[in-house]
Amino acid sequence: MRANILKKVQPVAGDLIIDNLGISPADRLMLRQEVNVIINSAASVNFDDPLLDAI
Amino acid sequence: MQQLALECENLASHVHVSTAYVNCNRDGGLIEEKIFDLEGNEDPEDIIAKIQSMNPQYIADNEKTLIGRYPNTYTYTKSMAERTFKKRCGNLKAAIVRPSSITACLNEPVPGWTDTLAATGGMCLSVGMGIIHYVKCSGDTIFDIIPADLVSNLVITSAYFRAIDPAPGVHVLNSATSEHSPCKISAFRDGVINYVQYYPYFKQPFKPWTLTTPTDLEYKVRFGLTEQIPLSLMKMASRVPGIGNK
Repeated sequence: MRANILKKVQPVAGDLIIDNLGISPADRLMLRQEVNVIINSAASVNFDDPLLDAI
Repeated sequence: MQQLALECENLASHVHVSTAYVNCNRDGGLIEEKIFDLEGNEDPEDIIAKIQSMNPQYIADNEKTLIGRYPNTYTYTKSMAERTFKKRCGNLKAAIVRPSSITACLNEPVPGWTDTLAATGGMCLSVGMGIIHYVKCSGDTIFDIIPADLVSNLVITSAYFRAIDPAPGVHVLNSATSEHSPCKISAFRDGVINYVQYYPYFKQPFKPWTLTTPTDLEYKVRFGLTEQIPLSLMKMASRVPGIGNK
C-alpha cells in the first residue's frame, strides 16, 4: 500500500509567480496526461503585500 | 493553474483554496457561499489589467483608493482571483474552499501540530510570551479560527465530491467555526495564558497578560500610558550624554 502511494509522488520544479508556473514543457505534458485532481493551496499569506506584487 | 487544469485530459476535479474574508467589503454578518459580481458587472480581469498598466509609483500612492472597501491587498486580490476563477471555469468541476484564520491541528497528525507562525500561530506566541498586551476589540468578539486538519479534510472531500458530481461549475465552501462553535477572543486569550503557565516558552521575556479594549480611545490611552510614553522616555534618556549608549 505504502509503496504504491510513494510511486504516485512525483516532484515537479516550478515557481508560481513565473508565467506557466515555471514548469518545463516536458513536465507540463506529463501533468496534462497523468493528473486527475488539482488542489491549488498556494498563496502569499502576507496581508499587506504591495498591490502590484499581490496581483 | 486553472489553465493547466483545463488542459488536463483526465481531470476529475479542481480545488482552489481561498479565504473566508473575500467578501469583507460587504455589509451584513452572513458570509454566503457564493461569488459576488463586481459593481456594474465589471470584468475582474479588465480591472487587474488596468491596474497593471498604471505607473508603479501611482499604484503605491493610491493603493487605498484602488482596493476600495477591502482592508488590505490580501483580501482584494484573493476576491479578484475567485471572480477570475469563476469566469474562466469552463467545463471544470471546481470547488473553492474558504477557510477563516487557520490554526494548529485538532487531531491529525497530532493535536496542536503547526508549522507556521502566520495567522493564529503568531497570535498565540505573542500573547503567550507576554508581548501583546492590548488588543483593540471587544472580548466577546468571535475569533474565527479553524484547525488546519479540518481545512485539509474539507479540501480532500470537496475534491472527491466534485469528482463524482456530474455538473460543471464552481461550488463555494466556507471552512470556519463562526457561530456554530464560537470561540470568543477572551476565551482564546485565557486558553493561551492558562497553557503557558504550565508549559512556558523557553524564553519567556514577560509575564503574559492581555486586555481587550473595545474602544479606540481606551486602546490609545492604555497603550500610550503603559507602552508608548515609557518607551519615548527611555528613548529620550538614551540620548542624554552619560546615560545613553553612543
